[in-house]
Amino acid sequence: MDTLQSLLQGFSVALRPDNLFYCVIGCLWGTVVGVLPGLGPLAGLTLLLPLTYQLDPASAVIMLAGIFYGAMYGGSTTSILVRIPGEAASIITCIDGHEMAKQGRAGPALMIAAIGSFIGGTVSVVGLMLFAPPLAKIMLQIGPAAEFGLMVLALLVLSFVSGGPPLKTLAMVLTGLLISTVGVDLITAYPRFTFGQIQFTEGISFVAIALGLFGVSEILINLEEIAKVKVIKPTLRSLVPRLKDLRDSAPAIGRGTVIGFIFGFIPGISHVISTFVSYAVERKLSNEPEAFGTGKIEGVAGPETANNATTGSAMIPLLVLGIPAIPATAILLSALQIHGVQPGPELMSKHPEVFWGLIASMYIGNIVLLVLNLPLVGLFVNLLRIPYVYLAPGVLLVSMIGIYSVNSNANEIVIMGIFGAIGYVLRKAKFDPAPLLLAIVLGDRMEVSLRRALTISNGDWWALAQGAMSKIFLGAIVLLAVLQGAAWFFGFRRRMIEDADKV
Amino acid sequence: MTASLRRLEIAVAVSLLLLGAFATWGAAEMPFGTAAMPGPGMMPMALGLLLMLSAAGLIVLELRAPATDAAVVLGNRHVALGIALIIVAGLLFERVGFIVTSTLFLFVMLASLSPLGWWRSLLAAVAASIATSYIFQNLLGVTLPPLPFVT
Repeated sequence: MDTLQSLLQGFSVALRPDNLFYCVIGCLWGTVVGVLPGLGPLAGLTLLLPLTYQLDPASAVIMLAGIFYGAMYGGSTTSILVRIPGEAASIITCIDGHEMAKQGRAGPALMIAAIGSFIGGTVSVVGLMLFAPPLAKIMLQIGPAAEFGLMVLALLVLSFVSGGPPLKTLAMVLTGLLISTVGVDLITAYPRFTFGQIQFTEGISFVAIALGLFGVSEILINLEEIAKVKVIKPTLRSLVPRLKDLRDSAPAIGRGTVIGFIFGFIPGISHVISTFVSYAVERKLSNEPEAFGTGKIEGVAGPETANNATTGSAMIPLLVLGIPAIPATAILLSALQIHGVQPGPELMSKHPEVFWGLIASMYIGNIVLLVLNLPLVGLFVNLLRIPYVYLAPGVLLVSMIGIYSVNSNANEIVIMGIFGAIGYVLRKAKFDPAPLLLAIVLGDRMEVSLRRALTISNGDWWALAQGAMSKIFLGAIVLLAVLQGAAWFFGFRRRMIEDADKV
Repeated sequence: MTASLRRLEIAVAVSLLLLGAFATWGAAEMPFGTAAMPGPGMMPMALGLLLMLSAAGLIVLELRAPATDAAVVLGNRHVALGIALIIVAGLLFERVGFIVTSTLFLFVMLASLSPLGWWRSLLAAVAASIATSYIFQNLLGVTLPPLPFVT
């Protein structure tokens, strides 16, 4: 009953005309960045983040969440019509989606992707609504020692599921944690690595780092290969799927929803992994596994549903624990913190309008996306005709304005450029910058909770393993470390990557 | 420019090793505190040392791995231009104002990337800068640096 009342309160926030407007703008911008190759949800979020500073926290997070799941929707369009994934989670959709388009069935592929995305996204929000409140009650009882264990566990899970070799991920995590120490020490106010510069006393701007590492570096990589794309343009009439398409897709959509929701909890690249798992499951369960890759609609329905079903569950660690599971939710965390709202177990009680407003807006956003995507698919496809040579300078200019507007400090543009170059080199050397970004976000809390736990226990390191929650987290850390070691030893990871390449 | 992937990976690992060494050296000058009252130097010191260890591990692994001829394209003039222009724009932004910086940035980008030619690139850059300035300042309420000597 409480949940229902809170949800109604959330709808009263989300249905305010200004918030509806921001929700639509977020969904629209998200779809655009999802459609445009090289501008995924992360770049879309970071580009628009500075412009949300003038909004109230609920409006800001509603718009940013709209970008997040809008990009998940939009990514499938380019995968199907051009065979270029708009973002990483749509890679697998290229296989059967584009084959369907080549056979003149682009319309049903887009329609099923949109329906699957809608169902996956909506069910996922229901899960978020049901799981978040009880989890928050448990998390309210944990002390600094358990909080430190939770942070270590989050970073360890990230290194376990991240695509690259564990040592590379560890190096990125440590670099991120090190960057988070720049600025005034939160406990003693001692300046660390500030080089006497006032602008570094609050640390290096997270937004400048995020924009550089993801937005700018992505554009730089795309500038290397400026190619014209051949677009298959569907008509509105051809969007209607056959009854057989709906019948074939329904089980795949159901399974994709469950897979996506479960994988959304896992930090790292869960939205990408969930699509691969969903595709593999559909092929395994199919009566004609050999037909996958030749335009099977289940190969579109399952992964696209899974991809969107991660959006709700990925919000649970962010909203309940204050831990972003993926880089996109790290941007949402940063946006909330800038507005003085700290995500975590107290979010629901201290800022119910933000928490429930966001949940209600996600229901509305999924409907907005369904309504937007189908009639406007022709318009979105035309965006692909804009040559990248005109798009790239425009996006870079907007990034510069965005980053300047945060603190009216032009030095942050320089920092963004430097981190753009760093991100470019890291990607070329096969280092994933996502763990670095997440570690920057978690760094402060991790250090403060460790130092507080040690102070409370008078320097007793064993205190980190006291208490039920600490023991659970420590047990999970040990288990993961053992699994990681075993996987490394038996070369399991190499075989898994080889198998994924064959897919 | 094409570079060996292995050499690039080693170069990044060496950079991380140096970063770890720098952090350790910097942290050594900060109060370390005690176990019961850890100081501001404890975390950077531990992280610096761990980063050095993991970077050293990466270097050893790369050197011991079987040789491959995997190569990566590492930048071309468009990439170098993009990075340089962002940094120069950051340095000019408050000194010469948004319109001048934006015009310069867009003109150089368009003239070198697009088939417009420099005259049309200049016209497009000026028009886009004025339009962008109007949209962000008048419609979105973002304050941008004015032209010099203009209050």
